[in-house]
Amino acid sequence: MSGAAPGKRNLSGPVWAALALAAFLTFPLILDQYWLHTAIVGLFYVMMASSWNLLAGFTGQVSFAHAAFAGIGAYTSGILAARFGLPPLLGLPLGALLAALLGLGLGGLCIRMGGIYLSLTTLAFSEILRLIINNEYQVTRGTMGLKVPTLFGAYSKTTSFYVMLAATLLVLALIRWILRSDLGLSFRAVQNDEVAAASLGLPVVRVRLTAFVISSAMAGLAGSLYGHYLLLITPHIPSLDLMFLVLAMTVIGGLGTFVGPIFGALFLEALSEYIRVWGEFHVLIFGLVALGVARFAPVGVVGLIQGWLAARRAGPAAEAGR
Amino acid sequence: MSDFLLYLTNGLVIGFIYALSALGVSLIVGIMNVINFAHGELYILAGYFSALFSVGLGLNPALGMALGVLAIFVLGLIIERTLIRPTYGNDMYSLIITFILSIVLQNAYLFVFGPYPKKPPNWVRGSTEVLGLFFYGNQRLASLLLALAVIAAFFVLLHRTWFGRVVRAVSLDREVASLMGIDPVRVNLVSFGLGCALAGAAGVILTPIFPVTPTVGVGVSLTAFVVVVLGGMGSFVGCLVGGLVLGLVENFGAAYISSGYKHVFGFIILILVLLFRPAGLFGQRRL
Amino acid sequence: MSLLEVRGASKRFGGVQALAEVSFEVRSGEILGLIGPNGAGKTTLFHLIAGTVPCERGEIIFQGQPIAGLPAHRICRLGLARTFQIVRPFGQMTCLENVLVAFLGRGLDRAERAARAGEFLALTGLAGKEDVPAGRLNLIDKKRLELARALATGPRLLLLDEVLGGLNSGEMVEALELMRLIRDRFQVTIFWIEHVMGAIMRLSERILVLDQGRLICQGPPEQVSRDRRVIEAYLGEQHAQG
Repeated sequence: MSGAAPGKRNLSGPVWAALALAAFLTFPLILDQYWLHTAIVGLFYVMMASSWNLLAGFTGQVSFAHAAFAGIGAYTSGILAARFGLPPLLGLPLGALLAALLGLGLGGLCIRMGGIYLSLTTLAFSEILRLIINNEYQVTRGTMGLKVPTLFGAYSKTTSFYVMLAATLLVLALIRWILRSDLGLSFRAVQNDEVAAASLGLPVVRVRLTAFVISSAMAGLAGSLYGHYLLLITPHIPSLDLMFLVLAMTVIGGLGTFVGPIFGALFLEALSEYIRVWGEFHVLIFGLVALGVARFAPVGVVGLIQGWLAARRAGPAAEAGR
Repeated sequence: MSDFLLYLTNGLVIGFIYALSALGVSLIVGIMNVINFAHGELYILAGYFSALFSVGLGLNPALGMALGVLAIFVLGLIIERTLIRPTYGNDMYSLIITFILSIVLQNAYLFVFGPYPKKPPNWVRGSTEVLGLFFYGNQRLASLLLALAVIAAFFVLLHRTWFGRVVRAVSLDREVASLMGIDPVRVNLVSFGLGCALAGAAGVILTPIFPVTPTVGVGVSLTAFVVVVLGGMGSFVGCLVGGLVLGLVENFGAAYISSGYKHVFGFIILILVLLFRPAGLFGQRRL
Repeated sequence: MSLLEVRGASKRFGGVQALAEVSFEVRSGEILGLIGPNGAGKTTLFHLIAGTVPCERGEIIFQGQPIAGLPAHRICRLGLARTFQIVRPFGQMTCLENVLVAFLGRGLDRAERAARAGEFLALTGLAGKEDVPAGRLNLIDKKRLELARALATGPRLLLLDEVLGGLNSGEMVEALELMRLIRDRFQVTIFWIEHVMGAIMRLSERILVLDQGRLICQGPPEQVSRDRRVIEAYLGEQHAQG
């Protein structure tokens, strides 16, 4: 959505999407169990990165609590299932709801004070959650991990994959719909210039808060699904390490584009599997790459490609227009 | 009673060091409107350096500390020049970049220094009887004295030097300061370096007491941030008061309420500040 | 009939008294000009009225309702719109989208909005540039966009901050015609700041003069232009610059 006019649609876009979808649908048939697992984890990151991008890339708010909200979703449905026998299918929406409510509370506290306060507060929240999870060992089983049942039925990677895929498509469709709606317009206006936006009647704080709550709920949903897939919920889910991966995937893929986080998540997740052969270096490497991208090419890989394509299409006309 | 005094003294010692650490954050925020998320990692690096210089190279501990802080200052200059400067005017990217930097540094430390705690040797040993009521570790007292000295030096710098005057002018009103002919780029560069050096100073002062590992950075950063929010962004006196408040609350809270949740007190303070006095105790800057 | 009443508005920034006890009214249907040397506090006054900067001292009453201290977006919804001295376009959105923002939350359906947005763009001379990203416009077009955007919010009172800067004489004539049109066709009262003396004296029915945060004179243009205090205020500025 980088300045492209509404109504002028890129014809190859939906074609690529359809091809990608078709490819994904065949994964359980063509991939082995290890790579299918990687694909499932990749889809989790697609949900996380896309929803974080909605917040950071389209309203300019850098939240460090995204992984924490995923953890809220995971631990909520996990604890409800493990300790109270609540079917995870019911726990799932509850987890997302709790994440949304905490997002409302947290955002309500600090959004009106500006971007820096949001970043600080979400970072603090993330750390406190980690503390609570470790301290309340009795309930959460701390670093040992909380054993939880599958979402429904018997455990099967194929089923898990299709469930994850469906959820991912739902989240992506929702994000796309938001971006094209009035809400999306208000997001972008607030991000471009909040003083001007306010002078035109936009309630800036409320717009930002809406984005924050929506993205928290999506993170909560993703976290829940992930937890019930792994069958084990650990403090890794709400950790800053995971938060960093989501951020790096979005930044490298392309902050502020729709496709960027999708590409970043899938690509980096696959890449990390290759790097893991040599050791746990992927975080350091992604960090250095993300640093380079943020410094030299802030639009990310997808942003660069889009810019290159646009320049090619405009051709000589662009030169005349300068 | 002596227990109470012990907690009080602990609170004061750690409070002043929190204040010192927070000064580094406040300086950078006040001048550049940038939050350095790698603050904690620079604190750690200074700790590692001082351990390396005194243990590994056998240098005099004082010299090791001074070199450690100097190294961090130079690193701060490099970071500002290469990473921060291009983000001027775009607050979001400076947040992202310093966060990524903190993760990169954390992982680099794991790789270079290993996961085990490191600390330089104590400068002094034994303990002193305080007011005839209880014994207190000499190292902690020495750390307190050094922290006070550095804080005092900072305030002297702020009020009696040309640079300090510039800092105060820019903190108050950036636009007016630039109209007065102050070169913002150089001020930013030195301020960032100095802010990092203050983090380093806190690091070398505290590591003889609390050894460093690659992951303690987040806690250090967050503590400094809470102090700055509590004291008020852009206020150095606020850092002092905020640091003491946090240090005392944490120690009394850990002693009388719960030690496992020591760091939650800081978060509670943060929430209370945001709810009732978002600008902080001494905050004057309009966002 | 008083559309806007300002009583005792004051604003301090740090050690500087930007505005001191400014009181005046804006009458419904008029074109009111605001002039004064640089640094007189004109834009600050606009910030206070529009809510961009909170007004803590003084009263501001718009259409009989006190608005001092209200957030900017609420003041806009009450019917008060403004442009900015240093333009603030939504750079990464198209001109059409910039104007569409003004229609958010006002209950029009999509087709209607697009049509009306197009009309406002055409009115200000931006026809054909609907799909151009606002960041790529030249300064004059950015000012046109800002005007179109503010107008699209359907205000009763429009605050214009130096809209004529950089225009050649032909463009200026058009701009003045446009302002008259806005007042007559859209029933919008105009309160504007301008440095181009000839234009503001010609178009305004009344003029306010600010100097160093104080209102030193108000009245019809002929009267103000001959007022000794006004002449001295501007001579003082010339002297400082010369």
